[in-house]
Amino acid sequence: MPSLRELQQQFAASLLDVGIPADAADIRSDRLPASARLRIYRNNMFVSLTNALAACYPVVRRLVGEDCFKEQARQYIRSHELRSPNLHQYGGGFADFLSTSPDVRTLPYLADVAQLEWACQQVYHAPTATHLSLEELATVDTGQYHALRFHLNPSTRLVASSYPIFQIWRANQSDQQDDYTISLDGGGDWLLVMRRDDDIEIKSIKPADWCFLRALADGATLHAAFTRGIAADLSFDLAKCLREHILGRTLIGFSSAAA
Amino acid sequence: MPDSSKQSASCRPIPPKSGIGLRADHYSALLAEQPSVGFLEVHSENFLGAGGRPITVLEWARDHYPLSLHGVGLSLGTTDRLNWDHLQKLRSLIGWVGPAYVSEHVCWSSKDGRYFNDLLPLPYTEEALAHVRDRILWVQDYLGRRILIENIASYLEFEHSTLPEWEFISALAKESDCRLLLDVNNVHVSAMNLGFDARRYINSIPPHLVQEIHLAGHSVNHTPWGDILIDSHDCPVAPPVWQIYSLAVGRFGPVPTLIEWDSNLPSLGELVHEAQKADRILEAPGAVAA
Repeated sequence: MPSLRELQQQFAASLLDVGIPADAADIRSDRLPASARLRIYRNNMFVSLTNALAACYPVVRRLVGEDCFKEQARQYIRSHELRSPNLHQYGGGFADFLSTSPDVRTLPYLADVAQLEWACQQVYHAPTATHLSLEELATVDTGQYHALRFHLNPSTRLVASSYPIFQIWRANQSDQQDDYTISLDGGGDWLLVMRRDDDIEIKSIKPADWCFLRALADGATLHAAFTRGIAADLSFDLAKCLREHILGRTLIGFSSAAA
Repeated sequence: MPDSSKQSASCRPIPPKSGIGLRADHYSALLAEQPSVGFLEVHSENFLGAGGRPITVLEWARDHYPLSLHGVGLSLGTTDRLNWDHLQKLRSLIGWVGPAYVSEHVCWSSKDGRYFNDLLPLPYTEEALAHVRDRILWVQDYLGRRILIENIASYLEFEHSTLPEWEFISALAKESDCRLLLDVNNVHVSAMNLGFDARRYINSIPPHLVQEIHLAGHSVNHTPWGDILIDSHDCPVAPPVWQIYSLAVGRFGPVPTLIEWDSNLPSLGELVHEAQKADRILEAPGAVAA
């Protein structure tokens, strides 16, 4: 008779690996053999995790079709453990997985679309932040501006792609009936995903603004981030960009370098 | 806690009526229609995010309905360490939601830190009984409140089980001073799959232990070895389950009853209509759902 610990080890192993016989887990065979009974649980696990991925990645699913999605999900579930009872945290590696999957290499933009969908899911559940007023910024000595580090709103994400993923995403919403022709050579996207009044908003922003915000998100000082913005586009307008993203609540706070 | 504006909620008691689950697909309809139901049941794991629409809706719900928090991820029966990180989040959720009940399943769902997203069966042995009893005691101690434990739907049993499930869960409740959430559909599904008598199950549970009942739809899988019922929560409650429910209400009295419907969701109106069938039996236990 196995101990509870041994039984759970055996059961988990049989659940994950079809090569391990079910009777090792002491499952009773009667009108149904133990292997058929165990298969119900194995199936439940794959179906429920596939459904969780499908809920997070509806556009990817639509792009590849039901059968291909199921197969990609099956492979992903095999190689990526769920490490928390919170399903909303499952699937963060799906974009990386798709970028190396030989089955979907004919859709080079797929991984970036997945990245956009993951950003939407993260933003949907992110904390609500207080906002920053321009008056607060006005209290800082202008000589210190260059060293400020701005904080991004936790309910924002920055996604970029060399493909027109925003257009692809829009064309594959469930309420979208029109036939689209999307040129993959038409240039990429620089996107800001954020939550407004509990709704997800995806905005296409200028590449220089994106690089500037990306640098701030990575913890750069205002000076270093400005350098990144200007490197992307010589006409980068720091004052305009800063004002727009404080008023638009992309930036919700700042700290001085000394702090 | 998602944000500092949320006050700790006081608990609204759940009346002996039917309730429905709080589901994302129904958020808009729920806020617009505000249907008359006894309570809303909330899957704890769906509301562990820090903000956004789920949290906004849950705040609204707690101000308009009695609530119960129902967990699927605590993995009470695992031989891993208890997931204290998860319990901490649950305690924080309980703090601002103020649920009348907090419930979990008699099962395990993780091993070596890996979660299977499924409710896996335990062997019904003295060893498992002592193990799960201690877990329930720790959890209740940490949460500072009594929990309800629910019987799962089973598709298999273990050779070395020595206790029938009804004895196992009743003993757990007695020894840990928790209460039972009796899932009548699960009793029926397990009875059909494993070959025991659902009525004997119901008649063996001490009446004072049952504080909530679950009802749900199941599906039928045809296999070469005969039919297997799957606890699918994707269709109306089946006639035999209504019959066992009627028996249960006769034995346990009118206890709050949830209609679980998690996929292939009907409109909110249809779901409320299904819940009202339970109300008719709660009012007159001899009645049979139409």
